[in-house]
Amino acid sequence: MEAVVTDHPQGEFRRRAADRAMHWILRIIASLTVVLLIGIFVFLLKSGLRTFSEVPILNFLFGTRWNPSSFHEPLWGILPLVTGTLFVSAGALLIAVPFGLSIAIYLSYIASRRTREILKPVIEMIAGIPSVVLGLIGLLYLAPLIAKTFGLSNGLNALNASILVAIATLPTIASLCEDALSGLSHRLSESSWALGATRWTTIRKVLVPAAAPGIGAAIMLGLGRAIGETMVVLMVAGNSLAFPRSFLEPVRPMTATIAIEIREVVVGDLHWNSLFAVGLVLFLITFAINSVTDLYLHRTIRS
Amino acid sequence: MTAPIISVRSLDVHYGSVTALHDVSFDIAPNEITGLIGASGSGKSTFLRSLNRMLDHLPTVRMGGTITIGGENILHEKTDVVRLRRRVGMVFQNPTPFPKSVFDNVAYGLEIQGIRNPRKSFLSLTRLRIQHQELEASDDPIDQAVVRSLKEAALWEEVKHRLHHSAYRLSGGQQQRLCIARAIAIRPDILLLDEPCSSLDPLSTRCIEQLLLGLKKDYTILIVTHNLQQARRIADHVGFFHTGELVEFGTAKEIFGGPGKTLTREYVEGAFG
Ligand SMILES: Nc1ncnc2c1ncn2[C@@H]1O[C@H](COP(=O)(O)OP(=O)(O)OP(=O)(O)O)[C@@H](O)[C@H]1O
Ligand SMILES: [Mg+2]
Repeated sequence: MEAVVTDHPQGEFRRRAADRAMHWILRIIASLTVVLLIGIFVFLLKSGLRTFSEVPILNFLFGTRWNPSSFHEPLWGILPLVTGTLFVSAGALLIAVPFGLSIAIYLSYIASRRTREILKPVIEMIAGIPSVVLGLIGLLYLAPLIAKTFGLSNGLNALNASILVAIATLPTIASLCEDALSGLSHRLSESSWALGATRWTTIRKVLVPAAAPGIGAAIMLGLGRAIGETMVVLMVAGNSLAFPRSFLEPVRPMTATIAIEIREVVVGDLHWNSLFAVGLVLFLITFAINSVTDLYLHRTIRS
Repeated sequence: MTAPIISVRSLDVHYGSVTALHDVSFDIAPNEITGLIGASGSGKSTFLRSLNRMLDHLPTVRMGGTITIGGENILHEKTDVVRLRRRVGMVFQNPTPFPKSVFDNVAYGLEIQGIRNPRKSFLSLTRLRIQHQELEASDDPIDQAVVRSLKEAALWEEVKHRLHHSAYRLSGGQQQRLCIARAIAIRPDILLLDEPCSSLDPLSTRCIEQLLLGLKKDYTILIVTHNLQQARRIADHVGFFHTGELVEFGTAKEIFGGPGKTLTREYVEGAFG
């Protein structure tokens, strides 16, 4: 039991003081993140809420047209922007989840150790591609391809943005899914094989369901990343304020709208405040996603 | 002796350059409990895993000799491993329930044969309450198999009110009986158990021993155990392994009541192991 023998009391005292100092420093740093979160929230809240003294909140949330700079009749409906965000991030997940999960399954159950050791860092490197570079790829290669395939005048639309955002979220999803799958006990697989299940049946009916909480968390984190992605959507989503009806139409998600318009407004006026309100909505959506993920994880871990 | 259900002839198993089993030959009679004993590393698990070709999943394994089950050499490369494993069930050392409901755990073996599970729960989100009276009266093949297996595994009374609960909420002993129920749900002929009681308390152990004694009229049972008392209590025949060889095989009485070989005597008297 007593592996460490204290040599003399003064050393012991110093060690304890250092211990306590470290304890407090870490505690302060940790609480700083909470302060930071609250600070950002208050900051958004302060400017954002001012919007609603002039624009009724329901018109803001459910209005179907966003045109704040119109001289005659400015309109403050963020629904087209929210829909734009929804289109791009849902589209991105629709692409990234099957791919990410397939990669994860391949890496954790099929690939040889050597392949895995090469492939995993490569996938994680995708995360290091600056999104402006992804945007360039979208402009230069993907847009003409999409335009040609679907016979459009240009290929800057929700589909283009979805594909690129999918690439941006792929490493997160693939690597977290891989962690979830390879963390499972080998005994689960053996028990399933012993009942006459093939490798594929075992993956589909035992391993993936067993890793479901982790996979769910991976998807949610990917979603959070997709919703917040700005540069790519700014460059390739098409930047149109018309209410989007399909993936082949140009859109302007919330992030892009803030990035574009914040440069043109007077600090402190209604338009300025409304952009903070958009940011607030964005923040609340991501916050809600994270909370739901947490709740789900806790629920499944407990049962 | 009735015709053997399993005949092993000159079985060799190598893991890469390690020889785990060498020239093992013996016959196992149906509807008996055969105990396999021996020191750690003597090849008991390896032997058990040869019988359902579980070693196929390790790339470096080489096997020689023959194992004949029901007239067919199962080591032949053309053997349908899936079919074999439906005939030869296995229960592992630690309970390994799937992260599914109690019901779905037992139903799994049938489900993967393409039989529709009438009480499928979706991603564990919609866990339907299952009424046990309804289940007992049901004529659905999966319902019937689940009820029968849980009863045979002496678990039914304990879980009938919480069939929809996660299997992880059962105790260790209950989980192990669930694994036995899961294995017998597909009605194998042979049941392999690799130290099934090593993580259980004496009461749960006793419960599983009683259960195995009851099961032997329907199944041929092979059980690896480090617990010599256990082998003495339940086994009809006992095989003693030492450094990859089957040193002695005989009735439990012969092995425990003064075996022929010195090595066996030393082991059962506790001189080593
Ligand atoms: N996957 C493996 N790779 C290489 N060698 C192995 C592997 N599994 C077992 N062995 C070796 O084969 C021999 C027999 O092992 P086995 O697991 O069959 O013994 P056992 O009798 O079941 O032992 P225990 O009572 O500890 O479970 C041992 O020398 C072991 O080191
Ligand atoms: Mg073993």
